[in-house]
Amino acid sequence: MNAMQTGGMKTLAIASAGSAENFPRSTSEFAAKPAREHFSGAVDLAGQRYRALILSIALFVVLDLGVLALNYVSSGLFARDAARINTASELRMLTQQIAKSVLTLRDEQRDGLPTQTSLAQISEASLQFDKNLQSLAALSRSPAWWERGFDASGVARQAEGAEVLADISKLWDPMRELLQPLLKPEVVLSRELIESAANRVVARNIKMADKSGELSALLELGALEQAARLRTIQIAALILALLNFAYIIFKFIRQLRAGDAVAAAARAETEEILRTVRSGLILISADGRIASQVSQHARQILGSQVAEGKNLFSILSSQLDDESRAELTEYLALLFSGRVKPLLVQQLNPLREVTLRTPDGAVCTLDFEFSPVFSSTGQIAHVLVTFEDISERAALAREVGEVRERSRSEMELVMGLMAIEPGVLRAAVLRARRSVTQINQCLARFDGGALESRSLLQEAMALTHRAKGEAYLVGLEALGLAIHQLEEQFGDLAKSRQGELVGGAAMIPASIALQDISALVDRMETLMKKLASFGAGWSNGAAAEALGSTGSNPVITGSAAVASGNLALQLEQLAQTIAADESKLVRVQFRNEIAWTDLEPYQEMMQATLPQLLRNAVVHGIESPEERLRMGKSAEGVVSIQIRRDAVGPILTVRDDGRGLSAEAIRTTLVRSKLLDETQAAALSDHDAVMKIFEPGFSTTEQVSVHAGRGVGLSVVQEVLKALGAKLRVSARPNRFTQFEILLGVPPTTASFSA
Amino acid sequence: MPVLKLLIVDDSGVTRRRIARLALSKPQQAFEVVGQAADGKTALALAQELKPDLVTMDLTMPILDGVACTRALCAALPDVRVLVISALAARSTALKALSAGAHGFLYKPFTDAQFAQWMDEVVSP
Repeated sequence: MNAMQTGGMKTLAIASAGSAENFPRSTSEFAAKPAREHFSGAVDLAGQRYRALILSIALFVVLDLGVLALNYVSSGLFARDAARINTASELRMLTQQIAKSVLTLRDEQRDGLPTQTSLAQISEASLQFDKNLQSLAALSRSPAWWERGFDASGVARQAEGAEVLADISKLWDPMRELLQPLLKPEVVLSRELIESAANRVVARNIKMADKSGELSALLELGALEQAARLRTIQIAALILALLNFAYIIFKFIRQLRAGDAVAAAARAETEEILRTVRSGLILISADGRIASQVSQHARQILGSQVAEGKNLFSILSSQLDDESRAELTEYLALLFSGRVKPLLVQQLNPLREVTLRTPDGAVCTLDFEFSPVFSSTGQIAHVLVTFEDISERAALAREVGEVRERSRSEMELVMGLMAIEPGVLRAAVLRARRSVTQINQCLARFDGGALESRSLLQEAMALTHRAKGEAYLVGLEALGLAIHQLEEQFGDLAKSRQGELVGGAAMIPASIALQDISALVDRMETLMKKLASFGAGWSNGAAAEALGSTGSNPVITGSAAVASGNLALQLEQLAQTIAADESKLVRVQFRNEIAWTDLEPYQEMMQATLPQLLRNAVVHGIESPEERLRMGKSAEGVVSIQIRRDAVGPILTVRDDGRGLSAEAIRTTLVRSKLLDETQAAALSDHDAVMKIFEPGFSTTEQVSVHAGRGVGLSVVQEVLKALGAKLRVSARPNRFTQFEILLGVPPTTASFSA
Repeated sequence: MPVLKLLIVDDSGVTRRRIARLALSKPQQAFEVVGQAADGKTALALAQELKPDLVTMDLTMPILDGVACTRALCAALPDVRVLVISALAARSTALKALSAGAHGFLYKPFTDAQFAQWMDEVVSP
């Protein structure tokens, strides 16, 4: 799925880039053979598209070069034509010069003047005439292709010129022969000779001049015609070049527009996908900056601030805790490094299942995935962030988990219940039910003033603590834990300021905890009924027998031994539970010298005090195994519980071989827990200091645990005993023992307890 | 395909045996388990002696923890590939191991199929 998404996005990116030049580049990007074949097809198409354009441009260049060449040739031709016209007009001038020189010669000869100058002029002019004639003849004999003319009129003009030239030659030849004798130095010029030459030259001169004029006019005409022809060609070529240029522009623009249309279509498709897809798609760079393409869904979930150029980290960071933020940074750095494969680190993605608040305030669970996107050069420039709303799936999973947890705890509860002797269990559940009712009544009275609330809270805490002790005593750990939760709530309340206690609102968490306990008791009752219906040891009769506290059972003597044994076992279990939780080693020695039936009236008193004293001994008296070994004691502490008869009645002794009571330590604790200030504490006698351990709120333990720390335990003991008219004696020796003795006195049923 | 030398580092013997069993039963790539270590220090010493191609690395170990061990290992043997196999509870620790030079992460508990896939991926170029 990963690779597919990445690949898909790559195509999107190409499409969005749009311009046709991306095609050749993308071919090199796909190394696989089929892909290459596919894309080389695209390249052929592109080649065909460009062929016309390339040909047009080549034609344009050729045409332009042609015009240039024509210009070059034309200028040559014009120069040549000019020279020819010049030569032809020179012929006319030379004829006249010769005629004039011959006449001058005649005059000079007649007048007996020197003739050298005239003779030289004649010789020079006739030589020049010859040369000009020859050059014209040579040109007309072998004309270049372009001089022949490109059309009939040009050819005709050429022939005409040649004819006139021939005429001139025909006239010139006899004239030259006529002049020849004059120029020979050995010839003595006679008057007749010069006379006849002059006459004949003058006679021919007119004709020659006419013909020469005709020739130059002809040549001029030809040159003009030729120029016109060349101009036409030039214009035609230029028009062609312009047309070609127009074609190129047209073609080019059309192709550009076609390319743009393809790009626009691709972009539209991309946008369609990004608008419709039901998952968040965001492309980010290493610094978390968002690229241009973002899916609509991403904006819906993360808000409109998800836009190009914004930073995804800062958008998310307000919703993440410090740890996740640091992990995300580290994780992305890892992906961008390219050193690890995405699959191999996907389990470390810190945003695999993350709960966020959407802009409209809804809470949803999102599943983010990060896939590095490789560029054509193999670099990782972007990471594709995809995420999906898995709120429903997550809720379902949570529900399944809760159901599983519930059935697990139910099972545990059943196992726990089955491990407890039915009678004991029934009695414990009954007591728990009664405690819940009492605490509930207590809570119901919370409405009045602050002082009243304080004392109510003390009462509720005492009730709760006793209920917890009873639950742990019989081994109902689940119930004990639930009651402990309630006690925690009360503990928090006790710590709160005076004013905050007023009114029922502060009691809500406690009420909820109490409801949980009530529900648990309900469940236990239901389970017990079910278990009883299975028969065996769960008959109602057996349960009733063990239910000593009812006091109305006629067969109580028969079960006394069982009950006594049960109490020992229960106390042992409680001690072990507490010892395990406190990481201590403890052994309980239980000795009872009094018949169980005689103890019957004290049942309640014992239930309320014994667990508390035992808890006190294990938690506060017995040291940790290490400490005991350091003190030279055995690692295992001993708590001995004794019930014996005395003159005034039964005496209950709970003694541990632990650290004893230190008045000094108690003073420190009193100050620390702010029950007294330092001067008050110092003023206390050792005896009074020790007696403070029975006051509510006193606790030597700093850490609140299930078993200790609320400062309720011994005050409960004290209160119960006071109410029943019993006495408590404490004795201790540092590092040797602590001993609590309860003088049960006259049975409470017959005692006159007016307290 | 050459046989790759595998060093298994985990303080739990059960996990080490499971990894060894799965690595040896992998059909795609042949592995030879050249050593096993229960702590980071031993792992480092073994790695320097045995020059493994691949190391599976636990994170919570006595003496030298997985992150430090990975860092030292990758510095000593630049070509070695390290696959961290650990509980996901400490994701930030795992990320540190990856930053220190490891190449992949697989959380405990893992399935046989996951293990096979990860091993293939981590040794393929």
